[in-house]
Amino acid sequence: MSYFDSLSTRREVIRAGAALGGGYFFHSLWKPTQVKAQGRANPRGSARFCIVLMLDGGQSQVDTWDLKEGPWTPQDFDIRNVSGGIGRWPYALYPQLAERFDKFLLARSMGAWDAVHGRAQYYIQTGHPLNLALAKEIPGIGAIVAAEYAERRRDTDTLPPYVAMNVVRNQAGLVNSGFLPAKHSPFHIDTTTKLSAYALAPEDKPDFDRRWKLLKEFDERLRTATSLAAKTYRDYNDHYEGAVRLMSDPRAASVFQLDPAEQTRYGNSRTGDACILARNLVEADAGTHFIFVDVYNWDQHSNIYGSDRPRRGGPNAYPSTHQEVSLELDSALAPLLDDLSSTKRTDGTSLLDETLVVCMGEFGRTPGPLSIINGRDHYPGAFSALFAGGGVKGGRVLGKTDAMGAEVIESGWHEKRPIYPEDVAATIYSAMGVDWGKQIQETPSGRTFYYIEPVTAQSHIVNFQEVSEFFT
Amino acid sequence: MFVLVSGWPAYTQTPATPDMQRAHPAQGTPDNRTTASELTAAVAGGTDEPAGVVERKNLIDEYVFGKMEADGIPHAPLASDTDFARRVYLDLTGRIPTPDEVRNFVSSTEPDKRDALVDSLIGSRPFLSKWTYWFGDLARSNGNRIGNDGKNLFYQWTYNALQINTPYDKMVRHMLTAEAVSNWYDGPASYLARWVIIGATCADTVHEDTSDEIAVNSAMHFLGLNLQCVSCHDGRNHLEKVNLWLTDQKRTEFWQQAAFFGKTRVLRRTEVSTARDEYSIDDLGEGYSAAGESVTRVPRNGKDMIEPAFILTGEKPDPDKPLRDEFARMITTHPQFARATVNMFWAGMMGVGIVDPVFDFDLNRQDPNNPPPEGWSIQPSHPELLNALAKDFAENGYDIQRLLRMMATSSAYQLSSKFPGEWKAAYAKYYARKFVRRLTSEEIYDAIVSATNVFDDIPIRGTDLTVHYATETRSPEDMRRFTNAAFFLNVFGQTNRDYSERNNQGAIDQAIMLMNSPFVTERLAAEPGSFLAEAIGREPPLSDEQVVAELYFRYLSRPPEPEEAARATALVATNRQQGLEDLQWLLMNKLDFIFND
Repeated sequence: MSYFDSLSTRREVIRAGAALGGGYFFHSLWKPTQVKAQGRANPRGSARFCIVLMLDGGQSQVDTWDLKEGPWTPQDFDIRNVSGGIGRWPYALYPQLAERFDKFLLARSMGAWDAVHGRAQYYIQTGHPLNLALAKEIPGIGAIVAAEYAERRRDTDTLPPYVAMNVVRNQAGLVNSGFLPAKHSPFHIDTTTKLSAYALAPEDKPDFDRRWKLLKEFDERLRTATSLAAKTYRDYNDHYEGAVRLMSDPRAASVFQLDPAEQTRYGNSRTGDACILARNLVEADAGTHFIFVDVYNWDQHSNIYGSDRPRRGGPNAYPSTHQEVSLELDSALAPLLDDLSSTKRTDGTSLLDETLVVCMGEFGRTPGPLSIINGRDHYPGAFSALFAGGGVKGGRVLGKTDAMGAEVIESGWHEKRPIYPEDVAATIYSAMGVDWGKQIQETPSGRTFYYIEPVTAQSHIVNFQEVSEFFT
Repeated sequence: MFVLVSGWPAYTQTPATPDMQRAHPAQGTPDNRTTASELTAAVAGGTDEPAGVVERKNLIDEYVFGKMEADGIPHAPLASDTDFARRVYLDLTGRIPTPDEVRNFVSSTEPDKRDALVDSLIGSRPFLSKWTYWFGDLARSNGNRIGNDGKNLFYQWTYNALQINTPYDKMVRHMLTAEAVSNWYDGPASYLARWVIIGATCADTVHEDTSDEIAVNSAMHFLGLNLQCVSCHDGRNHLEKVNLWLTDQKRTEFWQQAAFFGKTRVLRRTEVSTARDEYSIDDLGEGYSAAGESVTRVPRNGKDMIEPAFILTGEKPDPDKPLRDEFARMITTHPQFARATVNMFWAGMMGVGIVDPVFDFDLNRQDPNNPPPEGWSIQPSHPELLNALAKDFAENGYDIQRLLRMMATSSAYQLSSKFPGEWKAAYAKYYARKFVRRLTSEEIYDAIVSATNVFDDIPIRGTDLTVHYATETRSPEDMRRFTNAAFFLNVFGQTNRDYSERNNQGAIDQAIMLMNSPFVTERLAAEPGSFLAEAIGREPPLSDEQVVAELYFRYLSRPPEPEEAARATALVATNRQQGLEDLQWLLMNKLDFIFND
């Protein structure tokens, strides 16, 4: 909306059109009378953590995980035959994933509803179409997971339930908690800024403690005022208290730490760094359950195989060619899967067993010959996605496209249609043990919010489902 | 067909009586507005001083204080000079005042010094930057959508229009009627170009979807109406609990509104085969088809070409005149245009709109003489004031500067946020004290760089210009080069003007940013060029007390209170270097630094 929205809080803006009584937003949303399950979803609860790597811009399926060779394929490109339904595989781009087929599943029957980045990315973050009339009240998938996990949050948990990384350039922005309380909002990290901001190094702790103690004295009147009217300041002080608890937790120091040797092992990139942090967050098990990582620069409209676009802007620059983004992803994802699967909890299960990893773009890219500037444009008709962990049975390919990679000819699951973002959302909810059949009635705009749009809602004729085949 | 008001309401209408404001059990009512507003507002500890009588300076005060008087509602006293100075600098210019600006204002003995300060700020360069940035947010101007050249030129056009104080209705007409070979060469053309809907291939624009998008956004920005819902379906069976007026609107009526743009072609210009974010706008299209393809909305299920009709009056365009000229005339001469506009600026200055949210007017709930059905309340907190302000705005040339001056000089705007005695929720809707708001992300950035005097040279993309303040950038992308700063702004809820919404909620990561982010910590030390280095090196040397006082002025726009001065001086005296860096950190993290009260 506008600049004016900033002048009252977002809650306040929503509230004025609210369908519920005063103060509604200042209490827990989760009142039994407002939350109803449709009674059709039986979540499997096979995961406690979810990591979503969104390939921002849209990965070209036909040049990566659903390889179609043609005149555009570079000569001497390292492509090998792989058994187990994988077929031809671009070793030149994904050499490390090629060694780890057993750990993940490829779905080649993905479909998108939209071919414009912002709107399609919004789908990935929410599982819903972008409706600007309602956008302010719609929470992201991560915020819903955060809310659903709020009851199991332990007193010792200091890390935020929903962490998002490197999303500054996401065209949809970072979808917030909508009508849910602000505490379920994403906690936003940019891996290129100093991570020491989040965890106090032992040598910095005395300085910080001194300042924090002083601040409580210097700002005591505002921060502790008890009048009803001073609630704004008290609430903000609560954020400070939460921040100090997080920064002072010894676990934060190990979570927000990037060891140079590990960075090298993860490919020395911001996506590699984000994957290290994601692993650390899962390993720490200190309150974070949903992690969203924006993997930038897949929007290869030109020179998709060309190497004539040098990386600009130094070591923190985003990779700019198809080779670079692919190799960067390969280098980051492979060690993430390795580390999650080799780290065991005391009961013998691995971190990967309890972590669903989803890696996908917001849509695919136009198959067939390259455009006259040697790139590919946006294509929602068919693309590929990678799923691992959290109960997903790896080593398989689901779905099949035609010879060109333009159309899904086998869906690979019980619905005879492509897998849409809503199905992915339902799958995430199911794995995370969230009843995705739930609806929340009387949202601020007076509507009913469905976790996943049911067929009965007006204008939705697709029966969105968990992709149970991933797990069996 | 619904007609909003047959004429201008009388200026002297008596204030609404409370019993006209009847609560709907499941509806945003003045009463629950009050509760939430009340909770989000704050005072820094109440005092027991009597409020006294404030001067009624203009029609705003007549209504605001008249209503409080009639209903026996007490109000806060006028804010102190220092509180007022900080508030009015932030609200009018987006920046905190410099110490000299505060001191000169406070020490002035001129009887009309507040009016004089407002006059000096309105039209100043920071004022023009802030409101140009504000328009950029409203129009969601960004290079990704309309090209760097497009957003830069839109900025320049808006800035110039504000500088020469172009009547607002004229600005809006320019934006709605612009024809251009390229929006990169025509400032106001970017307003329409921004709303284009791109189809499956990146070079296509989807005709009816684009017309819809323009119709939705123009009604939102210029009439305060949210037509988004009825752009897909009738209001009936959807909006009964949300908005009475919208409940009566049909999708076909929305199509008639969109049909004013049915001949408007917003075409993407292409070079080689790649699509550029450059658009032409002309009126050579064939019209709005009810069968037109949709990529963003529920499929259109009609078959005919739609004839335009204005949604508020049913008026049809003169066939001899260009459609968009007719639309621009209808929209800018309708009373709701002025009402929505003054309400939008009122919300900007006062924190909460007379109708709030500002883009959610319910036109069936505006007139106290024609109350809505049982269970619903009149929507505006001050319906007569809203009409009177709108009338005044229209009769005085849609003069934005005059409107803002009227608001900033009113006693209603100048009330303290500190309320004497016990604050009651019911007082909020009377504006019985100032609402407190967190600074916007750009305001916090600007306050930190100006208080520390540590600036980055921010290059404006696509130009040779550099600027020092976030509110001087042309769009958020200009800040991307500065990773720490861009991230800092992002955490405080900056919109990308693409699909993300501005967000002024608080969050844990904001506290971390303020306490320990590189953007902040790198500005604490006495590095060359910083204020601290200059203060430490000054000859003759400043005493500890003087440095402390100066820092309080720089950050909080006021001198330290005696107790604060003693505490801060003791801190600095123990270890000057460390003490001063600590003090800068403390001031940056004091809640009165990041809030505007």
